[in-house]
Amino acid sequence: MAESLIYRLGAGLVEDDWLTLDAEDVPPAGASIIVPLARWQDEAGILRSSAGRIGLRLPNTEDVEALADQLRDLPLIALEFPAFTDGRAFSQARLLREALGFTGELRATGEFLSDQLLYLARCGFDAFEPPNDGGGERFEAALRDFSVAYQPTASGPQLRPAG
Amino acid sequence: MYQYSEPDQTLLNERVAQFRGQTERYLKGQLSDMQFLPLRLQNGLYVQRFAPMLRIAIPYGTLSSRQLFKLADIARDYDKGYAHFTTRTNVQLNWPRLEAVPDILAELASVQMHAIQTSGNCIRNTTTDALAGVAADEIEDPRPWCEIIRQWSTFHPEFAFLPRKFKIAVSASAVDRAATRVHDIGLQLRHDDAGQTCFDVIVGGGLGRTPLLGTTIRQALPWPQLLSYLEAVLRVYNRLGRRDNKYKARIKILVKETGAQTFAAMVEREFSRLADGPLTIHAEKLDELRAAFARPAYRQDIDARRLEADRAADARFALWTRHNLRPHKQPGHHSVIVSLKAPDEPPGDASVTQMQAVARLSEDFGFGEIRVMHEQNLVLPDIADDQLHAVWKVLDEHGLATPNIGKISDMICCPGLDFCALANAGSIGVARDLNARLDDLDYQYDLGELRLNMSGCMNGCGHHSVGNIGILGVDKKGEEWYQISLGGSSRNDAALGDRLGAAIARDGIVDAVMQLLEVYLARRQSEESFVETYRRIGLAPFKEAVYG
Repeated sequence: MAESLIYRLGAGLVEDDWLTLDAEDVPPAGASIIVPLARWQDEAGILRSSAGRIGLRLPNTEDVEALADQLRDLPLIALEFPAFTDGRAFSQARLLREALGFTGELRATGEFLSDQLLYLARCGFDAFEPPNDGGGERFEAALRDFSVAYQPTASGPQLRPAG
Repeated sequence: MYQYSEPDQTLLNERVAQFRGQTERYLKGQLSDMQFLPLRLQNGLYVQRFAPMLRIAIPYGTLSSRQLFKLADIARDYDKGYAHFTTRTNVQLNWPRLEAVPDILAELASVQMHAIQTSGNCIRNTTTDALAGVAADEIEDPRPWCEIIRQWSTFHPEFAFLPRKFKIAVSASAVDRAATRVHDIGLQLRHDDAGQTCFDVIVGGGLGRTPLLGTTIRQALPWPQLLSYLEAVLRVYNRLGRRDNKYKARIKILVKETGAQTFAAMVEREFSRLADGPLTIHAEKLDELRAAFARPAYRQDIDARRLEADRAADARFALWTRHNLRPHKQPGHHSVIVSLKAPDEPPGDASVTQMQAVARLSEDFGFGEIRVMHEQNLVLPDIADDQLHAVWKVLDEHGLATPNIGKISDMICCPGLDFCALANAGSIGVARDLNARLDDLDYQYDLGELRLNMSGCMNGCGHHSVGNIGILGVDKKGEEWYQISLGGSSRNDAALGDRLGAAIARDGIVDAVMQLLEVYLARRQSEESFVETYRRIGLAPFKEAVYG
């Protein structure tokens, strides 16, 4: 499997130490893997016995509060952006951080744009899969688009309050 | 007026720089059309029929003279010398060049203005009563609340990519002049039994393709919790609003399909967690904003006999004072409605010289403040009675004193097919032809209060669904046809109009409206308004007159 990169707040673009698996991929022994929620619900026991750390990938239609007990203590959750205009995962992220108290890595995956990076970070995302077209190099600058904000946020970069 | 703090200005400057970068990336081909689309939309930039259209925000319809002078400069330097005021109390430029938009935004930022969130699927400009702070019947000034909502909704990180656009309106008087029942959220400010400010929250109203009236889902929300509650509504909507069909994506459809009661329970559940949290509004913040909107130092030495004398000496002035003034909190003052509805001009348009004239009048006579009405007129909110004649003279010279406020020719009208890429039919031409037939002002006065609203397509920017007479442009095999509805209202008696019958061809629409008016004049009883007569006698007599 090809090595891939992940952008982490504070660390920048680094080699990804997690492996994203789909429904069929066999987990390499001891690896840190991200699996779809549905697979986890079917095969939790098997995955637990073979893999190392396990993170979950959630469709943006999932009610994270209904899954609170399964999600709260995970080391990683990946939330999906099927299109950059579909903003449901922004609310999932805030609920995970603020209602569930989730402290693991919260990863944005899919079709989001670098222009959304600061919004994502302010909603609690702290890791971002660079898009295939290499827009990842704009991430650093995008986080500096704004230095002030009107809304208090529970996590992410703390901007200077406006208003 | 609220003045920007240093961080407010920094935020705006950073936005200009960000959009300049996005525009450069787009022009270099680094951003696709699809990727640039939502970015430019959240800066109010549409690509229209002939040129881009830039929609500039006028938060809750309040402008300073300096801002209006700047808008005039921009219309002169970057456009064709006029601007169009909209039902969202924003202003639109129809002919800017895409490359120039970052420069226009920089000019706007120099007077604390912007185009943030004037389009796109995000929280739009919050609107209120154009007479806020001065209306005689007001409970309290809604503008501090509007400013609180403006700040909360500006670049809200969670709600920038909603299922669809989202509009909030605030009313703070007994008479609803903010159309709260046809907004995604309508807030009705009142005082509870203990005299504390609270809000009734109406959710799920809206115009457009499926017009619906909103339902009150929360009574007497205590003021410190306003933002926490709004956040709860928006979060439920962001998570559950439909995204599979653009025409079913507004919150009104979610509320309708879920049921208002169930929806309210979902909001309460979210709210129970957010209440008393970081969004709680504190008394210091409110006091600070109330001070920002403090009433000006009104003159106490008003010559009380002057207005009557001016009226007696000038019949045209007297006529205007009967129709274009509104009562004021401050004795010896009135609000002046500046008509942007001259019969031969597109409704809501103002030229560079007109904008400059109004800005200058506000400086000379009105504390430098101007309002935009959702009915697409301007307001000089604080004019002393002994200066009304001087104000009128200038307005009259500039074609801004048509004495028609609230009358049939004070129509709401979108730009229609002449400018808009979405429109199915022209609206400005129909307005002009209708005005030509209504040139007898006495006839209009005889008709009394009558709201005629016209939209060039289903999106309903001209609010046709809540017109006493609504006209909707439709496309029939490439020809422009018009669908009439009757009985709509956006006020306290809010109602959606009923469809009169089959659409009418362009050459018959003016006749049809005249026939409707004749039915009213023939059938009204005593002081009945058009809409009251309609509610009493129903659709049939009108239908009979138009379709025979």
